[in-house]
Amino acid sequence: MHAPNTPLAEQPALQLPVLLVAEVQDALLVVVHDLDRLDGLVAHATDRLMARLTTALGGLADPALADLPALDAVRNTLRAAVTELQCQDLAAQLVGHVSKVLQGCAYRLASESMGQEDGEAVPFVDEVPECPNPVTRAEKDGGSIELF
Amino acid sequence: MNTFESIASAQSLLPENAGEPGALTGGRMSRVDELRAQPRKPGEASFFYVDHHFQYDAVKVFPGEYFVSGDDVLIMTVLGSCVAACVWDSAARVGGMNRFMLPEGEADAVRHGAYAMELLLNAMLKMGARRETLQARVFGGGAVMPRFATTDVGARNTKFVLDYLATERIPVVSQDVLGLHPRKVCCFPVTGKALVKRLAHTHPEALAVEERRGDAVSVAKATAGGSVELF
Amino acid sequence: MPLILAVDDSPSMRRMVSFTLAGAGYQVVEAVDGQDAYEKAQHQTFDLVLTDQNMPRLDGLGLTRKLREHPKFKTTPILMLTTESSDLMKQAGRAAGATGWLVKPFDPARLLETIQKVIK
Repeated sequence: MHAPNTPLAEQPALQLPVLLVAEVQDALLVVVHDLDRLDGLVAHATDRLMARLTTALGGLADPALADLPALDAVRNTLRAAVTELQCQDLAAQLVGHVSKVLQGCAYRLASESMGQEDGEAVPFVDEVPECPNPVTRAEKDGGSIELF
Repeated sequence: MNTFESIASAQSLLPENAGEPGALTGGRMSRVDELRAQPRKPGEASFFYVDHHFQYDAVKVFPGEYFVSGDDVLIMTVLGSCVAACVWDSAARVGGMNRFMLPEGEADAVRHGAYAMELLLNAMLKMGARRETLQARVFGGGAVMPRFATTDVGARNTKFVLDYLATERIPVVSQDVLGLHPRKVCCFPVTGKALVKRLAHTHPEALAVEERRGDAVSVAKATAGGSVELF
Repeated sequence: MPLILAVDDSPSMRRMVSFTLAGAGYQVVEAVDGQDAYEKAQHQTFDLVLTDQNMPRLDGLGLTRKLREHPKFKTTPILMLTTESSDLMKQAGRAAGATGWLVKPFDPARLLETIQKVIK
């Protein structure tokens, strides 16, 4: 999305039908909306899973079950499930990043194509984040621990 | 000129070359002139012009107004804390947009908001749309003058329109609401898509005044049922 | 009972950290971002701070630096728990005075091991 040294207005340009531009921007905003819904669904499911985990472990804490060492393995397995449940946080970060990129594209498209009426304020455009997001960058290092 | 055109000229909102009489050969009227000549229902937008940037016949929707069409026209507005619902019927291929701001007071707000939504939806149904095939895109509700507002007017407007659409079971397929920016929205009833751009607010006061004044007019119109004079 | 300050802007992450730590007998106070954490640190003495990096208002590195400037927290173990994993970020963590760097997702058993190792 970065222009090289020539100002955008002086670069070779294309002509696109208005309805096509509207179609593309609309598609971008619709998927952003869908991503928002996805984020909500995953967050809600994770909350529910955590609640079930807590209930299950609470049940296993019953003093009547204290003398059953076999249940220790069950308890540890349940506790370890928290590792996978954290994917919700990672998913939310990823979805948030993707959303920002798509929105940036959508508003950039609009500001370049919609012209300006007299007295109208200049378009405000959020920057499109450039770097790949941390979750993607950290794929191989997930779970690593370093003490300084 | 009707009421809303006089507001527009007072605030210098008329785009260049608006108001050119039909200059087509053979004495035919341009579409804009035809649209201007038609009688308008209460609350219906009537500010027609040619958008020279898009090369489109266009109508500008002011606070309290709506417009519905099945033609290849552009329906536009600039939103501060007002909200606009762009509704489209994918089967009948008609679309429309309203724009409103809720007045203070719970009961008045519900009445006003419901009225604004019903005007739009009824007009669409009259043009062949059916509730089952409607979809909505919602815009606006920005906090454009955060330092001067005691309540978040934009958030209130936004909550109303989203709750209303949820109750009516009209799916919202996209939205650009809240935040701190005014928005310019161009809706195309022929495809149901809208172009929206966020604006840096250099003169938020002018927009806020327009929205509050427009709201007062439309509330008066809704209750008095007659024409309104602004002094 | 050791008191741990758990800082993350994600409510689900806070819940999972609290769940894991409380299950092992620690007392946990949650903070929603670095600023909230720093304010809470003024009124309580924590035995360990476990913090995310990317948060609004004040991020993890910023919080670490501020805590290290405060006499009460000069030697408190501060562990970063974040998706950031680059060498550059880890160097910044070391420079800010962090005790260690954990990359998400954490394994509960290993997190508890690490905390046991560094907590006073």
